[in-house]
Amino acid sequence: MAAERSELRWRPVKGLRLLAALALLLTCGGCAGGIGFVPDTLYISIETSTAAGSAPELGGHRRVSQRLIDKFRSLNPGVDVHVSNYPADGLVAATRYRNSRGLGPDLIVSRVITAQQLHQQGLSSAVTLKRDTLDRLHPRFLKSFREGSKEFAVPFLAQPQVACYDRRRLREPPRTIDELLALSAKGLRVGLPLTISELFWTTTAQGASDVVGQLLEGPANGQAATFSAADHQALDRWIRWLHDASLQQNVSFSDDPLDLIQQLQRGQRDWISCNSVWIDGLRQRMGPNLGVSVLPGGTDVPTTPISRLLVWSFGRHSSARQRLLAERFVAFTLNEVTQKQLMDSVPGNLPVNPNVLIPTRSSALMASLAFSLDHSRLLDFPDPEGAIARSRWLESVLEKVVLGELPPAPALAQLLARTP
Amino acid sequence: MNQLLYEIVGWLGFLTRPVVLLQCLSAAAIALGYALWMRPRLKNRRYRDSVLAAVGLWFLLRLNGLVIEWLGYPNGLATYFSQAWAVWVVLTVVRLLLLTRFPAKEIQRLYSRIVQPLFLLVLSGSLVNQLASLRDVAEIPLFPLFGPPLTSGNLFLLLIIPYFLIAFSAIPLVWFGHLVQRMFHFSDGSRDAATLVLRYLVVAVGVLWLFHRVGLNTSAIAAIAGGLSVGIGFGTKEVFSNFISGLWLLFEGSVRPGSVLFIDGDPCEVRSLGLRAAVLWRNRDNAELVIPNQTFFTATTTTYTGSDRLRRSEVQIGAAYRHDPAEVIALLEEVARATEGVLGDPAPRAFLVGYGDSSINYSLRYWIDDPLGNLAIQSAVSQAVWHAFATKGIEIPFPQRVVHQI
Repeated sequence: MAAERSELRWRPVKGLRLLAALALLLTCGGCAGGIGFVPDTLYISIETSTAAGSAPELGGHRRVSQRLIDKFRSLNPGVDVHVSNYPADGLVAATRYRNSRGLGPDLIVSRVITAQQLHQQGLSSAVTLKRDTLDRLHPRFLKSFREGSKEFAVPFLAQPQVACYDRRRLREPPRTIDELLALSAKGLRVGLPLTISELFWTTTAQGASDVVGQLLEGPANGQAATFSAADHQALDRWIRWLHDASLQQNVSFSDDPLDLIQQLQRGQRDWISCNSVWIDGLRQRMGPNLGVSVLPGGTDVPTTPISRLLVWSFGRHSSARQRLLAERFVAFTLNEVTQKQLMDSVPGNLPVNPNVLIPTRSSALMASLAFSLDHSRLLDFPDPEGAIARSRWLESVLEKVVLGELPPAPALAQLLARTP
Repeated sequence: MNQLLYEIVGWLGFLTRPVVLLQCLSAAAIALGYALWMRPRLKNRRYRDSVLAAVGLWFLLRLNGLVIEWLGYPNGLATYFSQAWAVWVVLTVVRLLLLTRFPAKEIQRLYSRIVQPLFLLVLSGSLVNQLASLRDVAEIPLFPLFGPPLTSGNLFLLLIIPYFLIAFSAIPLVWFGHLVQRMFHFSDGSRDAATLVLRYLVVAVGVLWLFHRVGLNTSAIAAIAGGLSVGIGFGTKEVFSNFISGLWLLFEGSVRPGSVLFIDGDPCEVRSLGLRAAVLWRNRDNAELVIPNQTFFTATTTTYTGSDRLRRSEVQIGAAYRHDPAEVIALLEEVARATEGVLGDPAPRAFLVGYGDSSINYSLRYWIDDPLGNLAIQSAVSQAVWHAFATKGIEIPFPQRVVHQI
């Protein structure tokens, strides 16, 4: 009984000790920060392309980004750089979570639409880079991020959409989408993505780029979207082409870009539409058998893909020192030497600094990438949340079409009837 | 390993941010104030006062978060501190409530083995998640181990999962054992044996799953284990011998938790049968004996609980020559029957066992169903015999010697 009584004593002391220890640690840390014991630390969040983590995408990229960080640290001794990777659908939520604690990143590398989400939700702060740093950038890339007199993000690298194929199965890549289907009828195994940003290039040959672009960007100024008869016909042609493609024995669709990449690596596909971000990993596995070309367009009409643009956004709760380091880091990544090194070390990355020459004459790969980027479309997303919803809605309709659930005519009616 | 240390040290960099420092220092000041000012005043006070003080601390921490939010700064970290403290207080209050209903020892074991380690685990995981991407931290490579590098997450799993496998498997398996016993009417010993064997199985399967999950090269482990088996065999021969003996004894049923064995002249109850040794409790002096399993395997064991739990006991007594032995025997049997703890079936029996120098010697034999209670029941029977003899006028003679002087 005495033992039981002793058990009844209040014993939160262990928890208190923990809390007190934590408090002491933090207090010491705080003091230490004041006297310079804590190293200068820069926190960077990176948006990855798949939910499978950074490893499948990065491949050698991790090594390259580490080299980039090492070079920056050699220029700024005593600075630690910490990188966190988040999948595309988790970066905004993760940043919101960390910002709510004051632990948000100092810098964020993401796609444009994510940067716009971060900006609109107040999770990033305006760019305060010096004008001469921003002047290094191609105005084409910069204009999308201007709000008033300031930018909310800074372009970093461009990653265009191209065709990747197996040279053992295909000597000459198709130039038009009709050639592509003809080759598939002869046995070429084609893999097409179902994500609208990566399938957008198929609209060019059908003349549906503008109407699909409108569907994606949404109605301007809150006005209901109006489509002309020509738009209807173009959209109809595009959906029918997708439907016909899905009926081909050797054409398959996938809603996961990584799935297509792996199928090409394993030899299960001969030709796929892929983003240049995957080229480095594909090269490591396929070696010289990997072919990269411009995506097929229409007859005498080059295709208009949507290129991915990686951008820098600045965090909200950096200390003055961290903010300074973040600006230095961004300026460092935008200078000619770094941009060229990034282009050379990771094939698939194109510079946003126009002073860096892309070796289009000496490299067929670079020529394809540059051509694709030059002809690509950069979409504006004034309403990023709406754009994501519209993309998902469009993709769900297209998925039903390619799976045979929805014939082209009702699919067209659905697309024209409402825009989320 | 360096990368992990680099990452951990890097978290200190957050403290250079004023908004982080504000949250941490304000919470730290409140916690230290509680520890240094409030705690000493709670000594020798009722636990209700301590609970109220702890709730007060939580309230202050929460208020701190709200004030920081009101000032327009991020307050998630301050809120996190108050939430962590709230969870700890709730766990402690639940513990106090459980102590009023369940044995203190069981609750203490539950908390020290499961609840507190689990709380620490969740707290440290959530703390890392506040500071960095838990996934990235888990993917930090540390050192190569039979192939690809072992990541920090996998090292953590290798250290934590076996502990929780052992700690967690006990409670559900004990429940399962009781359920099966109720369904199939096992004895307590069989239930405990089945539970222990099941626990070994669960732990073994869990460890194999862990190796698979962590991605350890099982072929390499098997090859190394094969190579080392001779050395391990010699080095840990006794351990394995004891382990195998323990399993064998469990299946055989001769020694199980709950069994009563005769060790060095004393009845002892088997408390547990572990990997290496059995723990027995000796009633006489409340001692716990730790005996290697192998001992039971190789030596003769006397048990009172082999086929049943009955024990036959005996009281020897002498009565004067002038009393009719039939009357004495009837009286002894009647006395035994009337004594608490003595079984009616098998019935007590008394025997005339010899003619002594001073008395006729009798033996009263009876059965009890609690082997460990022999001494107490024997004492009760002896006292009852004395009282019965006194009532009936039966003399228990002193030793006599007739001396003839010539």
